[in-house]
Amino acid sequence: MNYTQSTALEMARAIREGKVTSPELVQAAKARIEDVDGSIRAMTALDWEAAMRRAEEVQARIDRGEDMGRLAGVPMAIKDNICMRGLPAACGSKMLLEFNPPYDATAVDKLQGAGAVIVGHTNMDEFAMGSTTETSFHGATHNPWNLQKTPGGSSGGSAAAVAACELPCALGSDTGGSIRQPAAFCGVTGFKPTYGAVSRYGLIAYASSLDQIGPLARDAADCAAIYDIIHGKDVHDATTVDSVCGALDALDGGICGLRVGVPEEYFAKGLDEDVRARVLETAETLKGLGAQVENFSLGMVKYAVPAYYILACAEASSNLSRFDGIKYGYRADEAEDIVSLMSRSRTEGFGKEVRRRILLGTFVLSSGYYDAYYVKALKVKALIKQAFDAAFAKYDVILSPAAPTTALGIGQSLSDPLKMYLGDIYTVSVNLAGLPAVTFPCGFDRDGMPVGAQLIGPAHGDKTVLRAADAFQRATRFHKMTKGGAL
Amino acid sequence: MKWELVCGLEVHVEMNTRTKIFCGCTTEFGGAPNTHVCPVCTGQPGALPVLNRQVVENAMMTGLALGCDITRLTRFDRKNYFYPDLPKAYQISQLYAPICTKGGIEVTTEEGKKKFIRLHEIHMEEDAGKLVHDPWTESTLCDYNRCGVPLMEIVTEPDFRSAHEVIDFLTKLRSTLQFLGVSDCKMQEGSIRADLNISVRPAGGDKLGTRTEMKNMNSFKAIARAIDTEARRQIETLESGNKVVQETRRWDDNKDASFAMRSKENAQDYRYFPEPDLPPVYIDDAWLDKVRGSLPELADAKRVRYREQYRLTEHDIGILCQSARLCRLLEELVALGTEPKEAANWILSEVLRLCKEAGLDAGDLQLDAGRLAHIIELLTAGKLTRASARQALEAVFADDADVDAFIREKGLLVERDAGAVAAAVDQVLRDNPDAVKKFRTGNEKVYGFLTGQCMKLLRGKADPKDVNAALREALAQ
Amino acid sequence: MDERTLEYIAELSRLALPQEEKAELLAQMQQILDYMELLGAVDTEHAEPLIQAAGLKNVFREDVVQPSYDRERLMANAKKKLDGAYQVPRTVE
Repeated sequence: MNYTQSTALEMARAIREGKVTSPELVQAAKARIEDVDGSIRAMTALDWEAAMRRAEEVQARIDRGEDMGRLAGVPMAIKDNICMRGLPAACGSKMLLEFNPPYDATAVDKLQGAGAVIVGHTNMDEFAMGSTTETSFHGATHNPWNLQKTPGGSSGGSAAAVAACELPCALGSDTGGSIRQPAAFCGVTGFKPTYGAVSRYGLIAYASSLDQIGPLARDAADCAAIYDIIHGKDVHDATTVDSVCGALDALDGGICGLRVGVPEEYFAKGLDEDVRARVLETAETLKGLGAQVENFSLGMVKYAVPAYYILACAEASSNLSRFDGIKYGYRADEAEDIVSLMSRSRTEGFGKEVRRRILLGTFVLSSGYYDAYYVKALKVKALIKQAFDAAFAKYDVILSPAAPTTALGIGQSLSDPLKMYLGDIYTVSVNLAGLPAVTFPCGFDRDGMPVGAQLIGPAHGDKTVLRAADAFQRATRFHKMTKGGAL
Repeated sequence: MKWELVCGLEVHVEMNTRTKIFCGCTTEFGGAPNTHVCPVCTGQPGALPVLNRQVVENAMMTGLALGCDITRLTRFDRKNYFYPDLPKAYQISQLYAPICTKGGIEVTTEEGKKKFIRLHEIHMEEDAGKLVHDPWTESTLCDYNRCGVPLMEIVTEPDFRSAHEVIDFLTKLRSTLQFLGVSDCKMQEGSIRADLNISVRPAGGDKLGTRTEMKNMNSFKAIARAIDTEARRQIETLESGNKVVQETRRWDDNKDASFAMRSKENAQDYRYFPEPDLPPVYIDDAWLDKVRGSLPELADAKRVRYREQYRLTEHDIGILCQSARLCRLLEELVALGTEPKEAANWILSEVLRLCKEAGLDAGDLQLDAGRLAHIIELLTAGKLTRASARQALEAVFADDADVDAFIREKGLLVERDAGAVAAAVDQVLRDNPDAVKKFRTGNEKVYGFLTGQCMKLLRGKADPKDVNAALREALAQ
Repeated sequence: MDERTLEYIAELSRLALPQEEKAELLAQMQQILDYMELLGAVDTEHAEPLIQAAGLKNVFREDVVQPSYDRERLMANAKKKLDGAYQVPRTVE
């Protein structure tokens, strides 16, 4: 089998059929990563010895005839903010450069229980705050489609690793689009499940009410297979819900009669012409497959980004307070008192964007501003959810672009934070409303960069959006166009 | 000018749940530093809290017992501040929707009048860790074993006008919490601690003066001292034409004085916001009814029942009802068949004496009611003398001795040997002709001496009743 | 936002403000806050704050003791330790 041309499900099937072994796949992953990751820089931590041991163990169990599930033996990676024992989880930050998690995230536990072989961590924007993977202390990750461009972010390492065929799939996390936008920019499929469907236990928090772990892979089928493994109620995460399962088995290609709403506001000024054209073509393709596509007005769209940044920064300011130099992470030398120990450790350990968001978050929660900013944003969040509820009374899914543009050049967006925040316009409302959404490749722009479309579903409509994306992929070949060759 | 004290309390009570509020670590007191900890209570990145149901029910029980309104939709909030005893740098607490509001406790003023102290609220929160100064390295050591131990914070309105009222309130509150079984309320282990808000104003005024907050009191005595001292300090400040500064002060028990904490510790902006990691708690009628139904009998109800059902004296009831532990022992003894008065007598005379001798608080008493009941049963059946029974209880108290084995080993069982009793009586009468003569001429006082001589000959192993009967009979001849 | 406010929230956040970053940061923060003012236009009079989109309630653990973690494992990431405790500059007497 051809390692760089195969999906995770194909690899696992090949293992079960005896055509390849898990250790051979891990070897192939190692070779490919050594070959191309020098220019991509998607991986931040790798442990091949542990991965090989693990692969041999899984292979032995498969050889004994044990049914370990549909992705057993497949090598994959996880984002640098997901805890796994034995693998430093740095969150792309100097603050956590040497942090060895004392426990496994629930998602990691479940993947390993299903025989997945986790080989390492992928790069990300520092503490998932960014949309370019440039703010990482490990350095920027490069887009396999054009090394001068960013892979998007914050799960840019996961997206780039899959796009460069280093690994068939990886976990990311999505707080305001951090799975979906890089997936779109790198021409892969990224899925953000319904809030609470996947346990956040072991995901180093950015904004607790918005964070969600999800897969990035070649196609919707792989995403569904990973979702089937990692989802479910968790005793360690009180915000998990009893969620739908059997996503992979629900992929039957049938979307006849599926009601697709296309929000007019998502195609207004500011949207790149090529992106607009590709997404509208996607609507046509869906129509051709039997879906009923209709334009409508969603409402509240322009308020999503400011509400998102208020809430996300507020929670982040609190979540990141625990990094004070005492229990783990960077500790400033020779601090003479406790206040300067904490203050210097934090100032020296955090990068600029992280510090900016902590300050913003502290401000909107501080005495005298809480109601005007934080409570106001919570109310706007309620209205945004209502707008989606109303839309899902009429439609099964909502189609939109994943981002206003394709991938930007490295260094192009860092100088203007507000401009960068506005790039999240199509993704953040999904997190505010706690909805499932998938982005998938739907063509290319004038420069040959991938364009991503997004399908949003109602809460617990995870299967529906995956089924729709899968149906599109059965009818198209964009997801098959990979950067599997020399880079 | 005549001044008036205005005081409010914030009482922190550690609950006696088995596990912490948000993780399964034990709440057991002590333990080597950082051995009762896990990723959740040490604030590891990525760890999440999950609420202990018992904590909510304990707070509900307390609220019901204190006549509070129970908040049907109660939530947790984050209180953000940096301090090395707080590993997440936020305390999960309740600000916007605390579990209980209103309610109160009736106290007795110095003049003997009844007065109702209103509660503002009761909320649930997590405790912080312990910081210890290390003199060798001139540094501070952080132990997170106490992090996440569940607390209730009981906040009163500023209704107190004297230290006496505060102490009476705390005594009644502690009793209620102990009867409810929600806290051990051991002040020396810090499981009940109070912060005081103290201000003064011209007597009879209705405007509140500037208040100071007093922390770190670890005994009722210290609380009373701190209130009086601080009120005097404020009055002196005002009378000398200065203003009271709103500040937090630390009570130093050794110096018998309070000191203002550094201003840095005073400036606080806690940036409370709803805890996103915990769904809200919705208390419906069914749950509330269930908890209400499980409320144990409190001191007031016990007083009535002990009077009417057990026929105990007001004096005995008064002492017993100060301690939930003693009430439990009494009720266990009665349930095991001991006559209530006899049970009360044993507790109030023997058990309390042993506690006192051992320097033990009655609340910490470890005594198996079954063993005491067995001793009393043997005594009543005439198989033990009162002195032997006492001896047996001491052994049970000291090292949980097995009663029957102890009695056998020490040969304490009363022997029913009528011949031996008759022989002993005979000999005593023969050996003490003077005493016998005195008795027969009407001197009843020597009777005790004669009984004592008989018991001595029998080495205390006869039933005094048997000896009594035989002696009376012999003397009557 | 003025410089004093910025310094105040920096102190609350335990972050130092490098002098050379202050002006730029202040301008950026102001720009972002101005943008957030957009929400002022939304009529939220009849909206209840939505804290959690999933709408969950009453999620509990039972009061059953779980084994605590091995101290060495949990404290392995701490830079300064003494006698099984985390060590910090003198904070209490």
